[in-house]
Amino acid sequence: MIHWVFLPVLLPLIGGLLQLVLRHKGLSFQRTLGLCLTSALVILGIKMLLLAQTGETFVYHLGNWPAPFGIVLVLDRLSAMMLMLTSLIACAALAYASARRVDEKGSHFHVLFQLQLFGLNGAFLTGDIFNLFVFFEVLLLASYGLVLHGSGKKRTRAGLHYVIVNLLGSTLYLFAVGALYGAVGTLNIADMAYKVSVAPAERSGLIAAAGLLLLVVFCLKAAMFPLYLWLPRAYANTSAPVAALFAIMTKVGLYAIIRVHGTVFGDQAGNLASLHMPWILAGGLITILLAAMGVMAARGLSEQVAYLVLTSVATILIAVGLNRPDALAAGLFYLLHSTFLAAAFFLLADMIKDARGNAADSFETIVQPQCSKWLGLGFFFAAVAMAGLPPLSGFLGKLMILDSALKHSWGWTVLGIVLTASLLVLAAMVRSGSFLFYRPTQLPVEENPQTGKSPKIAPLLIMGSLLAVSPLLVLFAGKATTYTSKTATQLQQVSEYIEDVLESQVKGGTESQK
Amino acid sequence: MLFWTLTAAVLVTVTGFLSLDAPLFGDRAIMEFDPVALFAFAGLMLASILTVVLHRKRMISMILLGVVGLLISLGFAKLSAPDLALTQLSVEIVTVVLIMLALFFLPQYTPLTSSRWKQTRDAIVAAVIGLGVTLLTLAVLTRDLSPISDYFLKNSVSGGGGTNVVNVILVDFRGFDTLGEIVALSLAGLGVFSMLQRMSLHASLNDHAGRPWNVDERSLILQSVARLLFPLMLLFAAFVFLRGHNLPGGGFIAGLIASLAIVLQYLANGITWMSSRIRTNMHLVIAIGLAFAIGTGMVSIFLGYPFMTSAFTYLKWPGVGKFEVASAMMFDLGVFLAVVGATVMILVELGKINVHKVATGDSKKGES
Amino acid sequence: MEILVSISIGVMAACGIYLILRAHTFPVVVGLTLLSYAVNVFLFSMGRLKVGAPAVISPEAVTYADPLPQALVLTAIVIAFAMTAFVIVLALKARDELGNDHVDGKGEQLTDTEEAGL
Repeated sequence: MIHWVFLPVLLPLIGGLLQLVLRHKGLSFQRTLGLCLTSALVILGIKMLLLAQTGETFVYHLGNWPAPFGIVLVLDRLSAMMLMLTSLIACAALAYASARRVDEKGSHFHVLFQLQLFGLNGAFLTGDIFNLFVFFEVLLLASYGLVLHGSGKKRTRAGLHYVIVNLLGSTLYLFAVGALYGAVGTLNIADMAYKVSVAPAERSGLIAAAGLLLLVVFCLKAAMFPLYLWLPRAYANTSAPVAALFAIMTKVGLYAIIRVHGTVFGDQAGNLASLHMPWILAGGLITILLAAMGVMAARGLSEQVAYLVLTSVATILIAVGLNRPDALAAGLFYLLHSTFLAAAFFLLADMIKDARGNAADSFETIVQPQCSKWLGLGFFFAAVAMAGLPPLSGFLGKLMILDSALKHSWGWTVLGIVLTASLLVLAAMVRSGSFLFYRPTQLPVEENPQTGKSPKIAPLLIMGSLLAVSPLLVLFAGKATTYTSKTATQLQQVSEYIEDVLESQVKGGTESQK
Repeated sequence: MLFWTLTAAVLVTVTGFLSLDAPLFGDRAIMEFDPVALFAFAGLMLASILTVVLHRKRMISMILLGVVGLLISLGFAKLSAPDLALTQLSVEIVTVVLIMLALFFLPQYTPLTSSRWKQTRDAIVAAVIGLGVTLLTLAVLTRDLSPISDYFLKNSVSGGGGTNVVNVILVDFRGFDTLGEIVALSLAGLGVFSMLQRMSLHASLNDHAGRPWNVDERSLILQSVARLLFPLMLLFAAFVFLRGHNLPGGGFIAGLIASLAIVLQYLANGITWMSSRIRTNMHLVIAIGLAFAIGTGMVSIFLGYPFMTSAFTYLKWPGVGKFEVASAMMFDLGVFLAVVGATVMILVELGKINVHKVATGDSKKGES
Repeated sequence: MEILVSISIGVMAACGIYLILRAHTFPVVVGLTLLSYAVNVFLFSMGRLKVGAPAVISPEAVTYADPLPQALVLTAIVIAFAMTAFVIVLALKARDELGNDHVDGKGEQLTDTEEAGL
């Protein structure tokens, strides 16, 4: 029982090592191994959900040292949800990459993929703020390798920009963590929450400054204004399965805000409580408008999908920033919806690109794509879900967020901005859809549509299964929303979290020292 | 984008601080400084500022960067951090070698493309951030600390089996961080390897003024000295590795010294000569290192304890006396191998960029 | 001593930031290195400064420096090195892909091969 919590981290680590050692066996062996590993991760994800359903918080003491001195992994409902999400998206992305032979274009794709999962799962499970930094670096380094996989001038340029921006972010992270340690003397998140709640008032300025600096770093990862420009450039210019996996990467920033700031600056922090909320709300509102404008101005489908990812992240930021448990629950529901959708949309964009041949996914030339029936249908579903139209999950999620927003003091502003952004997104989607799939009679048409390739069954099925999550979320909305609201409640109970982590016992030990 | 990130960081932090109306400085007493420290500090300031002022001359700025790094290493030594001093020193040397290898293919000068207005704007932002960082540091240093590290100091010998507390933290208390770190280093090595596979850059025979870089193909002095130093450096690396648990040293520093020993041979003798002699694929070394590190952690799982629970015991060897055997040493060995593998991979792959041009009869300058 | 260390961190950070804001990749790399030196010294000083008290348990020692920030800085130094290596090679790759083959060392035509577009 005790080691289950550690397995989602251990499995991709060993997987990465195996892929490194066994790479001489050829690509098909690596693909099979990779798919086995990600399927095992999905099963582990289900186990994590079952464990978390009991409502208990599981603490795993690495090295058998008590918290807060050793590093701990903490499994609660939120972590379990993120782990499950990651494993499903990873499975789909890897399957797509294998089916479309993306992994042939460079070396070490499978090693990087597994280690990326190691970094992601570790970040979702850790309960220590410096360990979070180390896992961020692991997942960033793996992502650099994946972004640059393959070649191309634009890809290298986008990659260089992405790397340098994140290097600055990592340095700022160290400043923030250092200042927090200097102020409260600990690195464990639960212990930090406790120490902040008992810190003398004269330190509160320092703690606030350090906490907000950390918020800036997480907002950089979550692509919030004004730190969002790296995302469209990186996501639009990389290969499709990598972009699909990166649908999770922005969620890491969101998760970090909810976990770290939600715990350390939760209700028990006195006059530092909810320090970060107004910033996130304001930032989210500005981001969603700018992102919606970006969706309208995009010149190609991949770029447009990248901006759509931005709008969905901004929506979740708004939901978190409203600082209400029902809004947080709605935001988590929307997080589930938007991650699957974004991944599906990137895969779809890739297939459309291929089907249009030389015109790729640009909105400037009009070409009748091959197999436009299925691709068009997929686009229709994805657009409806992303824009937030009924009856798909986007609508449900937005409805719940806006419903809860009305009870906030900024309610009408939030409503206005979110609905305006949705309108802009909808208009843009209608326009792109008609551009891509309809042929108006008076504009010139590419003479040889045969350069396009019709998509094969396997990639279509993979993309379709990701899209199918949206109606599934609506059908099982009751179960999903129950889970998310219980998660939100659990997240609000910071003192229980602190107690669970700090008082948990090591193997063979008695009471932990404090 | 960078500009906005920095501006946002400053604005948010300052607003957050001011909104709480708390004092900036605490009231802990600060230490006096001695003239040597003042001299080193002045040198550090001068070197940093000159790095900026002269940044368009790349070779010089790289040398000044080395000076800054070395002065920091001295600073660490003075302020009771011997492990840090050693690590900073070794990483500094490897970084300089790395930048030199890269500068081989880059132009020697940065052109001036920013306008006066941009330079002033950037200078102001930089100055504001520098001031902010100084104030932040002082704000922390003027307050007392009651950290969790007292636990580490108390339990280092009884729980971890070593007297070098920093090393015990790295391989035992917070060994999971170190595992993540060697994975990160391995990822960097693999990433560099991938990127260099398809690269073909041209390096010039002459510098910017038309003077040839060197007349001889190899430096005879470097070759002879490197040959003598190789076994000594490896021995030193082994020494630093073995003493790490109880005295300053450890897997990282030993790994960096060992990789420098190997890279020195490549620098002295050339890629082709060395490749026929060192045939180990660095991928394998990295993999073995990671396998040792993960394997050590797994052993405790099979025994029913959480990952990376350490154990140690003392053995009595005839003639040597009491000798400590710790599982953390196996982990440290994994760290050592991963560091050697990744560092050598990065530096040697960089050195290999131009080798195929030599094969086609191009410049003799190809081997680095 | 605290004042010296704080000022040195500030100056290094300022120099690093100025270089990062230059548009070319090489100054950005040097700037990032300076900034990482600054943050390493900063992180180290969070354990408060002590002279002559290394964190090695011995019977003669009176006091010990805080070992935890030192361990953190060690990790940070190695990770920063990994990143520096990666970004330098990436800069080389960017240069390669823009097809500048004829650098003869004299009067180089530097177009914006080095612009990182930041």
